[in-house]
Amino acid sequence: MEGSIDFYATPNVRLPPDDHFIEQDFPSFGTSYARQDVSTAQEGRNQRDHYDPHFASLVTIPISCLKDDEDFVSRDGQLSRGRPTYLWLVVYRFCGQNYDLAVQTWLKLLEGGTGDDIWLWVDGDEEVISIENYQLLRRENTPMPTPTEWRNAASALSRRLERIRVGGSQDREEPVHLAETRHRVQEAGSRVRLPMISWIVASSKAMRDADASRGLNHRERWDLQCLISNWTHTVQSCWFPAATVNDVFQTFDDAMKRAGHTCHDGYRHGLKEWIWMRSLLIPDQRYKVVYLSLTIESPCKACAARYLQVLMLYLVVPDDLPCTPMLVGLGRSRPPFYLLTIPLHLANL
Amino acid sequence: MADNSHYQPPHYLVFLWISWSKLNIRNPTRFSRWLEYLDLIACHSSLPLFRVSILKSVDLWLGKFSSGTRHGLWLPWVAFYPDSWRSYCTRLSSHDWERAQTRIQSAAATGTQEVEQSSTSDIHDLPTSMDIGTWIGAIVLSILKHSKRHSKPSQKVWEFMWAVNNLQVDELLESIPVPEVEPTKAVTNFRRASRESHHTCYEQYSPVTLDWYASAMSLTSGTDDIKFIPLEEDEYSCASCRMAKIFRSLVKKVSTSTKHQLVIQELVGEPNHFVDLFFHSRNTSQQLLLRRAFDSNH
Repeated sequence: MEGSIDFYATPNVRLPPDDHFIEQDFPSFGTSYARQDVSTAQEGRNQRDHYDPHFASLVTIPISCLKDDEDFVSRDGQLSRGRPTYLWLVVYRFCGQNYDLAVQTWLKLLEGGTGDDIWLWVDGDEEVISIENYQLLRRENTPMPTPTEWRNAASALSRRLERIRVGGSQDREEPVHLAETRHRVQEAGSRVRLPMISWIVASSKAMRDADASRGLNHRERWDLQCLISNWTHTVQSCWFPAATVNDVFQTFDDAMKRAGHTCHDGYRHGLKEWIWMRSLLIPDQRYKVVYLSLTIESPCKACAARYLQVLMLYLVVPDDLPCTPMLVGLGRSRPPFYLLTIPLHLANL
Repeated sequence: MADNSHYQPPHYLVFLWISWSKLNIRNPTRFSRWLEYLDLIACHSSLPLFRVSILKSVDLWLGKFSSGTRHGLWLPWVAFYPDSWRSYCTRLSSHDWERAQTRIQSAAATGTQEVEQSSTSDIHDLPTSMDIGTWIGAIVLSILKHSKRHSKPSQKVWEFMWAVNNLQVDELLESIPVPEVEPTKAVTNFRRASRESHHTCYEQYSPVTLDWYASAMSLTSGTDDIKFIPLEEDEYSCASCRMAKIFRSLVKKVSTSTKHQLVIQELVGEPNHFVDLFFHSRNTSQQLLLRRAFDSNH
């Protein structure tokens, strides 16, 4: 039609304030995932920072069965319990210490096949967890699964292994973003992998389902502070490179201050490590600001303003809208709502 | 799990869970314990708390409430309740809610059968209808009884009031007033008793909640004669409570053996009578003398 506006063309709007990207070099951590081409290294930007459709061809690590997994399955959940136990502690914590719900979610995560995956271990992790991080697995006041549930866990994991062995191409080939995540996690050292997997569990689909059954919605947006504190609790005995963590946090701190945030000031304890972990896990978001206290009465002015911004959107959008990333992902299926968000983007905070 | 976001527990169930987890401080908020408690209440045939009619009216009453706030973190059914209830709501999963609901529904079904049987045999004289206030009071009393932390009778009343305050029913009452408790014999008795004792300790509580207490006590104990128990929580707040305390200490000083103390108390009478005598003696100088004597003794 002539004269109609093409909603699907790239809109000429500014990015929302949280998406702004600081054009600055980032210190490299010496992790093996950060393979840089010579040309991009000269520009000071990692090749993996941006979406790369050709990345799938670069993935060399196949989705394979680990020896520890097979041990666990063959002994009916009696042997090599380190990784499942760690997963249990994480899940129990993130499920708000609701035992039944945690068991359900744990089994679901072990079985996998929900579209995203958290079982990103590498051979040798079992040993690292059970020897180096043995303190991690001894949590008082945390009820452990019963023998029956361990057997169920073994059968869930065996179903996963069976799917990988026999399954068709769907299970062997992942979408690009998942493959990238798998690559990053498996290439990182085993000490870094533990905190990474803990956070991947927190943002997994099974955990979102668990949240929904508790009456919670989109916790990564609204309840980030609580999630981070839970994450901190699960990685208490993990090792972090203090100097690097401080460097990364300094950069993040500058970005937050520039955006007018004060919410991270009183909350530096676990936040530093979380920011560092996130910068490795999702390099796109390494300088992205976060909203730690997203309420109207928040002393952090940027958070309060953001709350108002999102609330305005909530007044317009009906309740049954699925929780997509709000300002960006409303997307093509709902052009009218997308139009409504544009003035919100332009509000200069 | 896909349709979890659309699940919504009924209001009465949420009220039961909230009151359980808020009032039961000794026992941590364990779901299994709550189920045990629900079973216990359901088995108690003389307490028809899970009757279908009363559950329906409670549901209607709570359904009128609206917190008026929207927040992205909570699903609409959680955001519906007052702010102080929400974190308790999110401790249970939809599976847990369904389990509890089936238990209560089965209890309600058996309860109606029992009522039919009793109406045919005319053995029990169960009340046919119940006020919402009475129901709330009975729930609170049953939880307090279940948690087993009464040391003295006066503390029971205090705990009841603390419980009602702690539930923050007031927040609900502002927007959705509970229909007043029917002035049954027990309620009027209790009102008269509290008026005639010259205690001021009950004045800090609203008369509505006092009525709840009286009718719920009459329901649980089965008598219309609800005793007035002085609170004695703070000896300076209520003059009569203070006098009673002084009287008791005086008796203690006269004799160290408990047997003698009991004998003296019987001879002199109840502390309340003594207090009446003290306050209503017309001779002011005598009053002053008494007060001095007690103060020096105390």
